[in-house]
Amino acid sequence: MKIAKATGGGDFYESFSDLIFGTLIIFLVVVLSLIIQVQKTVQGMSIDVVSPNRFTGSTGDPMFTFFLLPGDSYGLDPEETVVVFLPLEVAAKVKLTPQAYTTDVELDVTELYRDDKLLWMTTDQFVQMAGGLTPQATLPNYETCPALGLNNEGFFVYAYYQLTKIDPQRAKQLNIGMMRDFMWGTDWYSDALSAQDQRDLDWLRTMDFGQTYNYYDEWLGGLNDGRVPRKMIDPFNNASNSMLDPPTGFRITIPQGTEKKVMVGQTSFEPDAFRMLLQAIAPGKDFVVECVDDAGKPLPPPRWVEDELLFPAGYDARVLKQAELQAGDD
Amino acid sequence: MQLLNPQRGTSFYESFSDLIFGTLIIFLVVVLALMVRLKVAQDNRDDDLDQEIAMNQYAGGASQTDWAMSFVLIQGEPRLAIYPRDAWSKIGVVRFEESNPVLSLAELFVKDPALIPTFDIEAFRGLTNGMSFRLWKGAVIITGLGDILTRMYAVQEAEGGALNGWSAQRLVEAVGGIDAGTHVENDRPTPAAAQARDDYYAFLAGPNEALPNGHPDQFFRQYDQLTEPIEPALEPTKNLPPRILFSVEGEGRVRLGRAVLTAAQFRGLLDSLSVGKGFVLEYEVLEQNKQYDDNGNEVLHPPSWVIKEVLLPAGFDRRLPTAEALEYLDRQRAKERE
Repeated sequence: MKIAKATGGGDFYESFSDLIFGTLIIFLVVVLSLIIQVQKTVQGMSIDVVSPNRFTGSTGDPMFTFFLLPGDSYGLDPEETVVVFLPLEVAAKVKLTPQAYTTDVELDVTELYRDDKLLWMTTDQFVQMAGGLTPQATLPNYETCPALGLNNEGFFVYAYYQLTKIDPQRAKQLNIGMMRDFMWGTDWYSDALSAQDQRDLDWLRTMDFGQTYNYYDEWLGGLNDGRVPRKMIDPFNNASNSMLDPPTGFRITIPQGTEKKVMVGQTSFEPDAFRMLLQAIAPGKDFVVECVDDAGKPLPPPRWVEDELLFPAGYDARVLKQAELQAGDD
Repeated sequence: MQLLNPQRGTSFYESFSDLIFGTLIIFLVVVLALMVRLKVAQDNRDDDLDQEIAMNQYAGGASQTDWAMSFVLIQGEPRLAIYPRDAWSKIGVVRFEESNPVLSLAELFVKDPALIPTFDIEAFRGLTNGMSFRLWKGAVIITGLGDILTRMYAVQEAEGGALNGWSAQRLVEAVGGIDAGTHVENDRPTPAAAQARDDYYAFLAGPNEALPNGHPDQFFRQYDQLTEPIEPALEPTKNLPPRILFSVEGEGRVRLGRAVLTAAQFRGLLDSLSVGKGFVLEYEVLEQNKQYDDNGNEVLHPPSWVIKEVLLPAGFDRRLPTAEALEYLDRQRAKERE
C-alpha cells in the first residue's frame, strides 16, 4: 500500500506496513477457509451415525453344510477323512421340492467336485478352526450323509469318484445327470437321451451302486451317529467350549508378512478358500466376521481383507457396537 | 509497536503498521484457536465413530436371502403358510441330536397355530408388494411342510377344533410320524390326516388331466397361478437388494405392500428369513404417522412396540450406520492406511 504524498523518512514503516498488510490479507483468506472447514467438520459431527429406519440381523443359529469323504477322494490316504463344504446356494436347493430341470442338487454337487470347486480340508484342519468359528455353527447343525435320498450329496460325489476311478476315460463321456437318473430310477429325462447316451446309461446300470453305497455307509459308521463325524465334531466342540469368550461368527487373524492369508483358529486359508468358507455359511443371530490380533484384541483388518474377502462374499455391513436399540424407545 | 527515537513525521505509517501488526497477532491467535478446534472436532468425531461402529466387525451374508412358504389347506380352503427357519432349515439335514422339521412345526402348532402364519391368497399377494424382487425370488416352496401343516389342521379339526393337552410328539405321530416328505414308506397318518394329505395333493395337482405319479408339475400348477401377478408388480424393485419395506397401521398392525399384518404374522415372516447378501429391513413413515421431535425434526424410527415385540425377538437387532457415517469412516481409514 502506497500513500500518494508520503513526505519522506517513512521508508521502514512504509515497507513494513505494506508487508504486514499483505500478510494480513493472506491471513484473512486462510482464516476464512479455516472457518469454513471447521464449520463443515462441525456439521459432520451432527450427522447421525445410526440410521433410524434401517435394520438388519438374522434369526436362529448360524449353519453350514458339509459332507464327508474318504481321503482318497482327494488324493490323500484312504484312512484320512475329508470335510467338504457345500456352497450355500447349492445347499439351499436341498430344501426345495424337486422341480424338473431346475433343482438338481446331486448334479450341482457332483459337477463342483469334478471341477475341483468345492472347499475341502482334513478333519484335523477342521478341529483346529476351534476358537475361530462359533460353536453354534456346528452344534448340532451339520449335515452329513443321510439315507439314500435327495440330499445324499456325499454319496453321489463318492459314487462319481468310484466311477472315475474304475474307468476315467469312459466316465469322462458320461453325463452326470444320467447318473442321477439312474440313482433315482426315473425316466423323466429318457426322451432326450441319444443312442450313445442310452448305451452309456445301460453301461452304468451294470455297476453295483448299492455296493458302493453300503461301503460308504459302513465307512461313515452309520447315518445318524456316525463315528467319523464324531471324531471331528467332538474335539471341535470340546476346544470351543473351553474358551471363555467363543466367537459369535468367524474370528480371524491376519499373519504378519506379505503373504495374503487368513487364520481361523490355527487353520490357515488362502483368500479363495476363505471366500468359499464364507459362502458356505448361513449367518444366524449375531453372526459377524471379526478381525483380531494375536492376543485376541480387536484390530481393523488390512484393506485387502475387505476388498478381496469380506465385501465380495457379502460381508459388507458395518456393525454398530450398541447391542440394545436406543432409537424408538419413546 | 514503537521504535526508539523516532525522528520525524512517521505517525501515519507507524500507527497503521502497529494496527496491522496487532491485528495480525490477533489473527494468528484466531488461526491457532481454529486449528485446535478443528483437531478437537476431528478427534471427537473419530471417537464417536469408534464408540458406535466396531472397526473390526463385519456383518452380512453370502448367497441370496431365502424364506420358505407353501400352500396349505385349512378346512378345505387354500391358504399360504410361511415357515420358521428353525423348521424349514432342518429339511434334508441330519443331526446327531435330532433332525425333525415336523417336530419343530408341531411344537409351535400345539402352542398356538398362529405362530405359523397363514394368509389367504389375496393377502399373500398383497404382502409380497412390500418385498423387493430379489427377496421374492428367494422364496423356497416346501410342499412337504404344506402337506404336514394341512394334516395338523385336519387332526385339530377331528379333535373338535383344539388340541388341548397334546404334546408335540403326539401330534407328530398323528400326522404320520414322518419328517416332511422323506421315508414315505413309514408314513402312518390317522384317517383324518390321511384324507387331508390326499386332498392336499389333489389340490396342488389342479383340475387338469392327471400326471404321472410323482411328476414335479403336480406340485407346481397352483403355484404358477399364484405367482403370475406377483413378479410384474415387483419389476420396479429389480435393482434393489433383498428388502422388506414396512410401515405401521396403528398399534399392533404392520403394513407390507397392500396387506396389513398382525405383529405375530410379521414376526412369523421375519422368523422365516435366512439372511443373505445385502438384506435390509426398512421402515417407512406413513403420512398419518408423521411425528416431530422437540427440535422439529421428523421422527424416522419405528414405534417402540415394533422394535420390542417384533424386531428384537426375531433377531433383527442390528442397526445400520448412515451412508454419511460410512463415507466419513472410509475417508478416515484411507488416511490411516496411507
